[in-house]
Amino acid sequence: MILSKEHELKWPEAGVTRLPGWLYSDPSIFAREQEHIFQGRSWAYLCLEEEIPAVGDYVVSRIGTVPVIAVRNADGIAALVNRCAHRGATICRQASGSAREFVCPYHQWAYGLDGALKRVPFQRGYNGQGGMPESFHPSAHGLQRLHVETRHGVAFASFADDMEPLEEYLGDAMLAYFDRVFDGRQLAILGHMHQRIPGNWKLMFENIKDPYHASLLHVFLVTFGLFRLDQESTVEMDPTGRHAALTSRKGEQTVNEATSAMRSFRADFKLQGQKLLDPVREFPGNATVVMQTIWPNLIVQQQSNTLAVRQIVPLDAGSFDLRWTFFGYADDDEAMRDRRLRQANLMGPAGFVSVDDSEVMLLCQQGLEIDAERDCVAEMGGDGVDDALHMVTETAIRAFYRYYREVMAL
Amino acid sequence: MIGNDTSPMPTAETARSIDWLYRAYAAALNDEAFERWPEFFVDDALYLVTTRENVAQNYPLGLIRCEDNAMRRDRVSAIRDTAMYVARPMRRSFANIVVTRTDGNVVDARADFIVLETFSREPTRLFVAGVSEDRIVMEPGGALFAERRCIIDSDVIPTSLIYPL
Repeated sequence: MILSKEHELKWPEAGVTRLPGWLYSDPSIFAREQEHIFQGRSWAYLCLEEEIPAVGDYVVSRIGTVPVIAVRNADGIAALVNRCAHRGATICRQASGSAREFVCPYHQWAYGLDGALKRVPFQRGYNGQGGMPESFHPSAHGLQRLHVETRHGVAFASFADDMEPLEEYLGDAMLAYFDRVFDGRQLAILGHMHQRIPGNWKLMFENIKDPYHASLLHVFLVTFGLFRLDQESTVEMDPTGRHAALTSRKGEQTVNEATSAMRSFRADFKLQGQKLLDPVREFPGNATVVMQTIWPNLIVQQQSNTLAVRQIVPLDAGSFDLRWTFFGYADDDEAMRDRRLRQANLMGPAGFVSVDDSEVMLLCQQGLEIDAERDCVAEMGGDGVDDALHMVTETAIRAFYRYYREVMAL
Repeated sequence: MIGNDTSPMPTAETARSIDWLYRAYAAALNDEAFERWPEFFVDDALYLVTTRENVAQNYPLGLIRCEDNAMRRDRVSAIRDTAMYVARPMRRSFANIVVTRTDGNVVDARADFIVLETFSREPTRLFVAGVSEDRIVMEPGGALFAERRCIIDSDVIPTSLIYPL
């Protein structure tokens, strides 16, 4: 990272149509984001319930920079910070597995699946010597435990003690989009993809809140009418602007006023493997693609029949991990499962569409780090933060940053 | 190349054919002769790139899944024409090629791979390492992949996977 000069963390006078360079490179901003956003008043995506179906099953997830064990116990799902209460060692050394308890390798302090401290070896000493004082109460030294809520197979966690219920947090409009994909049917996990992108984590949200770029950057989306600005489209948000959903209805590979203005439209480009794009309608309504962004770390992807949650894991100001979990439904037939697996070629670190995005975020970060004091422009569609019925707008980016400024006190 | 514990040592001719296949495959891709990529496969061969994590959990997902040569040619079109990416030469190296099973003219083999990538104005860096589990058929004209599964050790891909492994 290049911080060529001292800069003031003062938001530009123009408001959220201007985005200062230091948002993407300043370590103090990154630290404040951890405290105010990821460990603040938010419901962060934790995992899919189907990843841990049986009591004892766990995965180590990450909320912001904090590793969190998501484990199923007799009462449901617990979210436990992966840090021994004794000397701070990482307790769980595997990314996933099944356990009856969590035992720290250092001094073998043992924790139950609810995070409670069950055993401290030699707590009473040996031969009447040493040990913990009487005043030491194991009940006060469990693993740090987060609040958890689940809905239709998706688990969320929060560091805050005063969170509103998840449904209220999402708001009616966003809850309806969430329930469109997570409709209560049992999910079937198809697998993970995981990539490390040398860019600030907010670039990922900006990308999925920006319908304007899709018609220009992505040859695949444009040529095959998967997401293009001459199609019936919407940009919707919750009242706070922190969540958004971009929707569109599939169009045709035809030359018109819009596509002739898109350098990325190829009238003559044909796929040789036609099986890649044989979408089948499976959700109610006209939309064939809904990309939902949920504050502070989740993207829900429904593009044709490829479904995935993408978890944003910030690493430092200049890089983040994007972890994709692809899924279908337990009642999918073999043809639908195969269709989802083929359409996954569009997405992920090798995706026909998504490669363009990960590469462009790399380019953005390189440019943004040149000058922390120079502002970017987010003025497509004006300076408002309202919903839109078209794609030529950056309204959802502005709405995101309006809420971000509130939370970050900037 | 050697046979492993459960497989007899391949004949000298089989060994030479398999060795040639891996060498020619790596050379073609390292030279970025991607148009030749489908030529190393029988038409309906499955090509899959996945991770140890997915394999361990029996998840069928691939980062790249090509079910036939038409899908492989679409990947080549993306590299040549439709994808936006920062070009970085990639060098594949195959080692420890082992035949695990022989059945007539069909041979199962595995090989370790190490792949380096080089961005302009940057020193070369390791991109991925892993093992491929392959099925190879001995055709009159030479050996061809009937299936190739590249299993990457790390679950984390540095930025993007642009080119085939």
